[in-house]
Amino acid sequence: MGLSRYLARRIALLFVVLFGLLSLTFIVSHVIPADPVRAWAGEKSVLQSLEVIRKRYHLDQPLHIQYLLYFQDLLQGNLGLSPVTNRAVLWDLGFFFPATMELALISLALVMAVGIPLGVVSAVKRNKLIDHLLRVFSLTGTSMPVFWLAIMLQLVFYFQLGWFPIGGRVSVPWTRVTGFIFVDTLVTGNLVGFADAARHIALPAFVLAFTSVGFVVRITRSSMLETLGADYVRTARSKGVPEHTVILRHALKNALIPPITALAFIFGNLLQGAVITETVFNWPGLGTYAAGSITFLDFPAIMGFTIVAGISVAVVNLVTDMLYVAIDPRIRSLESG
Amino acid sequence: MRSIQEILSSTYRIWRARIKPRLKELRLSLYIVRKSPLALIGLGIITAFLVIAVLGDFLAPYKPLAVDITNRLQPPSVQHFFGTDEFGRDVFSRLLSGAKYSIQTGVVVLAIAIPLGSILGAIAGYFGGKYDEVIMRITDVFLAFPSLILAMAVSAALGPSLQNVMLSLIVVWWPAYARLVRGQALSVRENAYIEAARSMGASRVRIIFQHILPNSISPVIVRATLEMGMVIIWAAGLSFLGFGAQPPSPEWGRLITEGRIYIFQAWWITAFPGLAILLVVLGFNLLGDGLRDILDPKLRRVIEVR
Repeated sequence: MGLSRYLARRIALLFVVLFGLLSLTFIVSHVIPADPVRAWAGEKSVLQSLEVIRKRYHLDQPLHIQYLLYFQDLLQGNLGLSPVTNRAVLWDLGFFFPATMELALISLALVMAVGIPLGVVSAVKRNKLIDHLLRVFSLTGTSMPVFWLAIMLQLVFYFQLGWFPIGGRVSVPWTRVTGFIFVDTLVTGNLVGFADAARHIALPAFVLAFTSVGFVVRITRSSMLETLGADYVRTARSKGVPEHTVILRHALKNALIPPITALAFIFGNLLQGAVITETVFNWPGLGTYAAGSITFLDFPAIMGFTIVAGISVAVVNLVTDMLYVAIDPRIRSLESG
Repeated sequence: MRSIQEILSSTYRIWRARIKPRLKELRLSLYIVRKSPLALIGLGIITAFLVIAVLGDFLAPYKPLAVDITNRLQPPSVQHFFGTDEFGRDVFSRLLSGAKYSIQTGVVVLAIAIPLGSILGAIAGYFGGKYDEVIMRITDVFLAFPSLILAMAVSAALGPSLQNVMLSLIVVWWPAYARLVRGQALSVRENAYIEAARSMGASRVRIIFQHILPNSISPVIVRATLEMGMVIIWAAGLSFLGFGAQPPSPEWGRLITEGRIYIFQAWWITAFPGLAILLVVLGFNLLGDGLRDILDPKLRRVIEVR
């Protein structure tokens, strides 16, 4: 199979999944006992304004017509208007996405920089004290209730030590260019803003990294154990290749696929908006936006968010599959076979 | 005519012969568990947690809902091990009393999600073709959905309560098992004994329940142990966001939400419930991690040889 045909197939599949996703959201959001119109208009709204809203969102139409109308709008690139924020959903998503992306990228970098080396150490020192300690460390991270860790860090590092702010993304003025604060502050020469943003992102990024790093450590360890036992590693050792070269060049390089899969999975999750972490730290990203939309039964926003989340995960998976091919030539022959 | 005794004893012999290899494997498993101290610690934590879940209300020194305004926001002391909350309720007692909600949620969610996902996965993997295509595409859609958002949307749509949190977590959890068991089914169905069973006229349903599912069980057990902890965290998280148990229920996520308001005056209201969740989930993860070493055939033989 050629690369372009492979890509075309993947993109076609993406549309199938997206269609399913939207149908699922539509079902969850429209076949519910709660009356969204009342939630949007507020408790004291008069009957007339309820009617107006109902008409505007086609809620007076039968369900299958609503469903068709939604897809018709969608194909024209119209994600609808949020009845809660009164802004176009597409605009809202574009506004909140960079904050989530930045947080996700920094957390992912932390996970990668810490997780893979610790996994390698764990495998090389298998069943030694350090391996056991790393196992407890990884599992503690995996077992951590995110919201509780976030609150405890606020207690210690904001309230008691005063090292980091309690939440938010930045507390000094900055000019929005791309929406990515670290890029924008550098471009406009706003170094104070850059440093301030770095202090704000520290705690949420740490929370996300600490709770996901264990997964990468464990997977790197088991994958390394497998390659360390392989014949080519024994051959390399018997040729007298220095031990660190054996571990890094021969064993680790061949053990990278499972950790990359784990990292992709984590990144996908982070891009879907770390709802709880973002909420606790009042981070103005997609997670906070989604949580708010759900509380107000804001369907256009929820559906828009679902599309972004679905596409993000699909793109991450696609890029990961291409990384596999880049790392491991054996896969290329499998694809073409 | 054979006597009942003969029939019984021959049935027993057949049964014995059939489970003998399984018994041998079980003994090996017990041996490996004993050699893994961390898994044993996990098992100990889980046992303690189960005892508290059952006896919590009797062990609690105070009534979990007993209000005592004169003693509000008291720090930990000999009278109140974990201090008191904004209504003077004993945090330690509330914690003991709240344990049952976590275990209930975990057990109910997995007890429904696992059979549901496993059977669908087995059908997809064994039947193949159209069945496989349809079931797996539906699974893909659920897996592609941001799970927490899906759970939140279902709970929000149905109204906040612990039952609805369980329901929403079942909706989120079954697809992973469908995919896992499908993969197992694909490899199991190529075995000669399946061919043999089929040639003897076993029905497809019988093959799924007698061969495919039992042979997929060890990865499912490992996954379930590891995910019991995840379900508990998620349920607490949904309660924390306001979707789950409602006040004055001492559900652990709820305790953290309520304590958060007073975090800078009375850290103990929040700190101890979180520690409890961490400890219980860690227990399941330690056991699950140990079980993986036992049940993964590749790792298993390595341990056996040493």
